[in-house]
Amino acid sequence: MSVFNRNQYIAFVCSLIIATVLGFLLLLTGIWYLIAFAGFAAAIMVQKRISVIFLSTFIAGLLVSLIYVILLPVSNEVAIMNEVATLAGFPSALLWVLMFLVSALLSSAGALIAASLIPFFDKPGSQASG
Amino acid sequence: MPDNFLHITSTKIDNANNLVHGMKWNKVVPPIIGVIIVVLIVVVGSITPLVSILNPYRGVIQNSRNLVISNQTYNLPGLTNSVNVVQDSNGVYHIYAQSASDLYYSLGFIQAKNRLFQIEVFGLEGMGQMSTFFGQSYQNYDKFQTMTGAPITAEMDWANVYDNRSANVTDSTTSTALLSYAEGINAYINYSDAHNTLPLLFKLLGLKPYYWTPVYSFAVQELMTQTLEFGDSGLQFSLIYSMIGNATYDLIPTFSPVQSYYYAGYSGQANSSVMTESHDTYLPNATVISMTKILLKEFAYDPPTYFPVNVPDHSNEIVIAGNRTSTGNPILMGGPVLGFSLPSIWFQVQLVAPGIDAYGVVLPGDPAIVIGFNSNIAWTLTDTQAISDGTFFFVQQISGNSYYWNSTLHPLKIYKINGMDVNWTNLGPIMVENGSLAIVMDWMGNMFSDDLGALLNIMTSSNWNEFKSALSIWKAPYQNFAFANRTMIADISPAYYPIFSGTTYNPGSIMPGYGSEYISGSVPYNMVPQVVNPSDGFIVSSNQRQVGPAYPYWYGNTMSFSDGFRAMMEVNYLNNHTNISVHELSAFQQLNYTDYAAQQAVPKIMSYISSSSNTTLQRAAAIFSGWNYSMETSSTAASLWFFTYQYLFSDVFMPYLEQIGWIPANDKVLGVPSGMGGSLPNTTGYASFDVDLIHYILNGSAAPFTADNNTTMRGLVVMAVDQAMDHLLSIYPSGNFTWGKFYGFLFPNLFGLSSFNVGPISKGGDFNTPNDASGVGPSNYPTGGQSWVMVVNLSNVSRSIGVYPGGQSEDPASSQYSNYVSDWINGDYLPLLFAAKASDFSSANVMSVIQLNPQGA
Repeated sequence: MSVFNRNQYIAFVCSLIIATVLGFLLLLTGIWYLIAFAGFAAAIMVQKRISVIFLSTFIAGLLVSLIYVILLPVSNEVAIMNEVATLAGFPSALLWVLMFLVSALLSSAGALIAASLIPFFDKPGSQASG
Repeated sequence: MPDNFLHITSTKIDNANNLVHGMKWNKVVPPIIGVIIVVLIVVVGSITPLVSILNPYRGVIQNSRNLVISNQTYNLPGLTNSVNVVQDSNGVYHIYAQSASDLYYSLGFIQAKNRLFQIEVFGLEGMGQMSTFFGQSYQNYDKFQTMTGAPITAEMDWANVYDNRSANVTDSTTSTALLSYAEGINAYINYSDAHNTLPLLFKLLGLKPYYWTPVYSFAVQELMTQTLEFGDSGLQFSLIYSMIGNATYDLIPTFSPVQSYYYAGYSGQANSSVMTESHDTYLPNATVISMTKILLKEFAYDPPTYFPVNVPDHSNEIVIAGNRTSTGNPILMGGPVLGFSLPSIWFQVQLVAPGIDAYGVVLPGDPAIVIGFNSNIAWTLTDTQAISDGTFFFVQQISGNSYYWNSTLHPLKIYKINGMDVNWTNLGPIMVENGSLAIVMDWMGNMFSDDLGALLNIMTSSNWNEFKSALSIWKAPYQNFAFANRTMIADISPAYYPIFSGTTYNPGSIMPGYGSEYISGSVPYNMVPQVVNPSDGFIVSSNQRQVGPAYPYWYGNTMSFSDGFRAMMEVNYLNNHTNISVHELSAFQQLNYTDYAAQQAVPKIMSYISSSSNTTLQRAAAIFSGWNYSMETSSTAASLWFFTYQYLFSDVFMPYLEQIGWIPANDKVLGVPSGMGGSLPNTTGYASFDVDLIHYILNGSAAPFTADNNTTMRGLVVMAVDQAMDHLLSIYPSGNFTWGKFYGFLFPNLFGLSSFNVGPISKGGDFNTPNDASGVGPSNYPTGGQSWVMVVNLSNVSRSIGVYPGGQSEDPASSQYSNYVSDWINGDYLPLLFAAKASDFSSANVMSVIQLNPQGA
């Protein structure tokens, strides 16, 4: 975090919280792709340097999956994922990685898309400071 | 505002300029990357199930909740009162409800919670709708299943039961049970869908469960009738008869020359009219033979992969009177042999409601306990295997949409089902046609009968009269029902056993269906095989012929019954043991590997080889010497016996079968026979041949079924022993060819997921011991056997024991998926906890408690 200044740090945390909470809520619809809107919304709201919002929304995506995982009985999850991995012919670890990665990528992709629109919502100096 | 507006506008213009000219990377590239990522994930999600499977909220990870074993409460629509469900320490569910409808509702919910995918597959299989789940590859199966009439019968059965429910008490009981059971299954479908916990295979295959109806319950019953009582032996007999004429009666005798024990009596001279009928076979012409071959190939489609593989019926039931047991009261042993699968075909429960308190095993999709006990009685089932599996074939003349009967044209009845037209004559569905001729099947499974109602009534019977009365409506599948209460033992084989009109052609082959030959009635209920408190003090009914040759009705030939060696071994054991305990009987059932055929034949074989100077034969004699005829995994004599028998079988029959054109011309439709019920890979069992061969060994001649009739039995036996030794030593030159290297049990995953098979696991036994369903060798282990072993102690039913090879859950990730397999293999029966009230369970005996409450209560 040393590369961030105080404003950026606050923006990072805000973006992280917004994307995580929104991502969690949007996933309750059952449509995984909607996590992209969480990242998008966080980016639009925070409007900071792209590296800040990318990183924060990426981690937010990971957190969203993590929250769903820790709300379930973990040892049974391992058994289930092993079962699916056996059927699919993939290593179980790959399925876990993919589950987290897809959330993270969707969230951060939403933020990246938002980056192109930020200038249209830009407040004076916000990009410059970012 | 204007200043700000100007500022924003100028910024936008600057940005637009950047896009057009300088295009700063951080303005253009990130959104492009973002779009690419989203598009890629969407594309992957649309062409693979990966995204929906891994979805943290709706995907497979949520199924981890299904594996939780803990106290749970569900609020369910449709329940009237609260229901307590205790899962005991062995995983068995005990359901305590305040009404029958709540009881069956709860059974449906609990069973679906553990076995929904299995239930749904069974329903589709019975209804001939497998391709709706599994695609085009099941179209042939669906077509054949629809043609048999099973789906039509399931619909008609339910319609009849529902319509009669106010006039008929049994139909009312059935109607209540099936409707409530369906409601319970559907409640679980709704619950699991809403909570994202639909069974894993639904998610992986992208399927939605269909709602259960009582028609599917009847379809499952049809499926079981097909498994147990649906055969093509009549077609095979006709084809063989067309090749060898009257010699067929020597190859396939009407009565076994070696069986001596008939549980229902009628030993003695063969009934002359039955013999005349059996030996008057209709000779089919070339067109009929051609259709027969086509139909035999069609039968090969049944059953499909998604069902335990059909195995030769091979079940065991023994009841012992109190004067021969250590408890002073009867003991009942049940061991229905079916194809193994994980999940198992059985689901173990105790069902309690006012007027109902029964323990046992139920099928997927049917709420009745099939085999079990209540506080007063115990019962178990084996297949009678009688009367050509209740499947009769007729040649009929057809013309367009009509058929001839007594030279008069009648319109075909056309049923539209599963997108097909199924044409029925007065005798049954047309299975195959060629020009103006058709083969029509009259299958007893297509008769209306409320057999489920009979089972539901058995559950509440308290004595023999009620039990027998409940079974008076039973039509199919043909089953032996063993019975015991505290003071008596009995057995009865109720069914619709047809009596034929007309010129009495052999019903065990294709018959002419022009008007004179048809099923005109059935054996009266008081004449079906039965016995009460026999003087022997025990009853054995293990698929052997139930009644002897003097029985006054045609009851089938040696093609359909078991060869009877298991039954004879069991009778032999019981004759030599008294004061038998529950645990002795369970050890006998699972761990006694005595091969009765070997016991009869090996002394004779020894007499042929023991004096030989040939070193190989001397070595074989040394191996056989002192053998106790037990097919132990550590026995080399067991391996030598098995392969000697197989070589002898081949040396006796194969040259003859080649000579008559069975092999190779007809082996696609008749199969390549091998001994012990087709125990070699990719072969077919013919009980008649096994009976013949033992008879030949004991009598010293295989004539006329040896290619060279000058070959003596001694010569054949010597050759077979030599071949067996060569074969075994070629695989194990050290001579350590123990039986465990060739034999063991495989428990395949029901849905063909071989990663979740269990086994093969070595275990003793062979086709002639209680615990087997044929198949041997490194690539063909038996995948069937005693699918539920149970020994009921009638002095105190709470001290009964049993186990089935499987587990209560269908999910391979569950600890309850295959946890009983090792118990079954080792013969470790589990206590069958029988508690009248939920509160009777000690905490040590409880795994979890599930409370089902009416929604809104």
